Amino acid sequence: MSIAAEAPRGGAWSSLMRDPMGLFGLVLVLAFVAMALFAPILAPYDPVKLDVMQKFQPPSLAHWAGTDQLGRDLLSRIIYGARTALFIAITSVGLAGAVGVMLGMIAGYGPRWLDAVLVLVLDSLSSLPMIMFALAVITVLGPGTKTLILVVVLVSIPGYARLIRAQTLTLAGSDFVLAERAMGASAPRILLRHLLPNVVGPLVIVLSMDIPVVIMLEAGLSYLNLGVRPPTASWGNILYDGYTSLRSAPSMVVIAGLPLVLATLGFTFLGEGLRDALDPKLQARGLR
Amino acid sequence: MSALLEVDGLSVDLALGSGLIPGKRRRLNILSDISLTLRPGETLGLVGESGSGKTTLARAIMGLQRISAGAIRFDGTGLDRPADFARVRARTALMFQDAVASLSPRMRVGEAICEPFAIHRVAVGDRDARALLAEVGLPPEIAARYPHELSGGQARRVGVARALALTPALVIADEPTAGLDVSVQAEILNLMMDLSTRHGLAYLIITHNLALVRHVAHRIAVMYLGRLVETGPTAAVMARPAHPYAASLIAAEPLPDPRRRRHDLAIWGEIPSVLNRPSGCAFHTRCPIAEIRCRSEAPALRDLGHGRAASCHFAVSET
Amino acid sequence: MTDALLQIDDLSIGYRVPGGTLHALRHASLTAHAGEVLGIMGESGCGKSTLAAAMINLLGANAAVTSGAVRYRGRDILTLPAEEQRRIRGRHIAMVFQDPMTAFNPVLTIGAQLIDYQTNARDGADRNARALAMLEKVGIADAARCLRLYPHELSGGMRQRAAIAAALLMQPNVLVADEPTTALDVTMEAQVIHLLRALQRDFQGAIVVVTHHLGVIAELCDRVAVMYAGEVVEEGLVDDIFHAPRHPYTVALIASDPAALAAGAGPLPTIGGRLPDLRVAVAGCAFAPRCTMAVDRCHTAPPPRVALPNGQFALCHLVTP
Repeated sequence: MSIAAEAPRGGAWSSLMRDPMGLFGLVLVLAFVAMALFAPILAPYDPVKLDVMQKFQPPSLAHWAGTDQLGRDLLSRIIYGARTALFIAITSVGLAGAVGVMLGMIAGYGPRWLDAVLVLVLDSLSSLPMIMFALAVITVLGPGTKTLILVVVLVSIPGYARLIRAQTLTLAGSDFVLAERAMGASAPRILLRHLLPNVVGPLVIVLSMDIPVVIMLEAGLSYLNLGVRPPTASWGNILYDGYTSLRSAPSMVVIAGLPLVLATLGFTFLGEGLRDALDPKLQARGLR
Repeated sequence: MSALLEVDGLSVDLALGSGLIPGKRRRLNILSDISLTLRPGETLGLVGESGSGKTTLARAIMGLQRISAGAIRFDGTGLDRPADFARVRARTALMFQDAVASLSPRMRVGEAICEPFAIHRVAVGDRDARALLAEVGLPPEIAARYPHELSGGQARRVGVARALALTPALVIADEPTAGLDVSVQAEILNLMMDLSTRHGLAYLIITHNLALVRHVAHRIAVMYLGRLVETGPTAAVMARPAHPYAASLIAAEPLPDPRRRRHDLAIWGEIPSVLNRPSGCAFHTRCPIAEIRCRSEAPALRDLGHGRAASCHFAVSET
Repeated sequence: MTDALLQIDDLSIGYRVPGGTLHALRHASLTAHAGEVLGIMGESGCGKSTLAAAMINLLGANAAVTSGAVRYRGRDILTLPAEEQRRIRGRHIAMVFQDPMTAFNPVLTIGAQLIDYQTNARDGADRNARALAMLEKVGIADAARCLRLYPHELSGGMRQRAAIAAALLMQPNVLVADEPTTALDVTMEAQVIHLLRALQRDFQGAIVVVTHHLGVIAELCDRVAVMYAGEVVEEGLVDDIFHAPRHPYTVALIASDPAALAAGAGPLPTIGGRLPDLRVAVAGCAFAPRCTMAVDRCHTAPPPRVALPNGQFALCHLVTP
């Protein structure tokens, strides 16, 4: 039995296409990605442009989502907020994933002593509670996008590395790896060409499920004014503004919360869909 | 003709326990004092049941398993360190029992077959994936498939094609017919023998299938619980086995002929666990001719003449 | 002729797969009589596993019976209500599986399971005694100790014996063994074959052995049914099947077994070609594309079931009594 016995990507893709929830998630994700990429074109106004005369405008034809307490167009801020959210989430999760894969594979395939050392390091790192750690680092380095990314990366690496390590350990003893060694393949070749493609599958699912977590984290920290610094548009900042302006414009909170919920939903559904699509056992049942 | 492969007194022990607590770790003996030779173009059948250590032996010969004692020589060169094995990799090949599992799951067959070329940085040239597939009787479309899309027989052939890519001198085949239907077994056997004749390959075939050995092997070596109990030319050993285990193995084989049914049970009992190795001769617990001596004294592999040897106190020399 | 205990009557079963239906069994007919061992012989894809599953009525969820019946003592078990089916399964028709590991619950001891299986004993002590006696009968030394062990603590051979004991405890009338020795070493295989033969002498019912191993069939069975591509292509006494096979597939199959040939006789005979795709309806004889003796008729018209002497049957255009 092999954990890596997954259908080639072609098969997984078509399975995903057939799953309504996964498809819905994919559509949402693509919408937000488009929003982030084409923000300058899509946003009707400059997100940081003040127009205090226009403050707390309800949704209207001029401002589809209304304006905030400084007269900034909310729709534009939300669109640019997508850019912030996705940039932070994808960068930090991507970076953590890359480092996690490297460390995990080295731990799983390398000498036992190196594995023992790495496991010790990873376990220590993962025993730090995320929020506390985040607050501590932010206190030392000051809030901001870079700090946030650093915190997320450090906190996420152990989990990813452990997952990859487990996969690698299992596959390291499998017949096809032995066959490659019997043919004289070098360790780097085995790691890159044979182990890597087979261990990243489950990780991709975890990464896509973590993106909404990071988006939420960023929103939360920005809400606490510990994340992205104003005036940069961030869903968390907008949420904070909405909270402080609750009496003047109650709809702001809802408007700020909506993209957060939708983005989280989208990535979660996509992640679930990917997991189902890549699961070899479900695949097999479908074929029988 | 000088030997292609020489194994001399090979032993493999595995350490038990995690190794974190200092002190001597318990060692489990898997193989002990295995010696055999293989000449170019010869086929040796290594026969044994579970616990015999035959797969461990195959891996040790390929340098994938560290040995505790003994020596291996390939074409005259001693193979002691990983670097030595690395030098002869291009001239040896290993075929696995589970043919599908021995192929990288996310690599198409065409690429998998050409792995040996890529690893040793040899230009592919005429013997490309198509040609190799044709040589093993597979259509070129197979090159685009993934391992899990192949049938057992097809996967086996792909394994053969990959093993032959660099035209090795020695191929070690671990249970090449296991799990295959009878008609497919015949095809694979014919293929292997044909390739052996054409390329002058030497085979070390590991199997528990005596019919296979009878048909393709020049010589046979029988293993029991990590020890060699009998060696010799196939025909002679099959006709007149010298060791009681070899005899019972041959007698136990169910023949596809209702007129030749076995009425007496050739052997009873279970193969002992490697963890609980019997004292003296490992086979004494199930041997029909065991005596008190067998319980305490382990017999050595004795030369019986005419290229035959057996490790039994009561084996008769061929004179 | 003793009574027919289990009758497979023109049975056709298809599996729903992406892209259509896989016709795993096509109008298969067989009979298992009391007091005999019937062997069902065939290679992968012949439908024997489907047939075995149908006998014990444990077909997969995507299986559909498109024709025929499985009659136990005259009643079609496939159409019985679930409660009736459960009653028959295990009590009247018992099965021994290929992988003895999956036959047992890994978290219960062998004793607990053997005792649990018995619903026809008087009380706990009686069940215990019967379980012990049955384990001894299947040749397990130190049966009392075996009762206290968990499945994973037994060796493969012992597990298979225990599985046979479990099947026999209910005193079934039909015992179906699906590849009973495939997972075992040669020496253990010989012992299990010997055991099944000994059991058959005292067993009043029918034993059905499903396997691709010609040697096991030859050693154990009285009558043999040969299957190919979902059909029973030949049926007869074991000696006739092995020494006077009439269907071209049977002839080719027996000829290609390495165990049947003299040593070093050159290349082994093989059967060219591949199994037909069972998702496509077969016109004519399923074996025709690979048959060395096929004529035009074989590719277009389904072959007749020809009755031969000694109760032998062959599904072929070219066979005459």
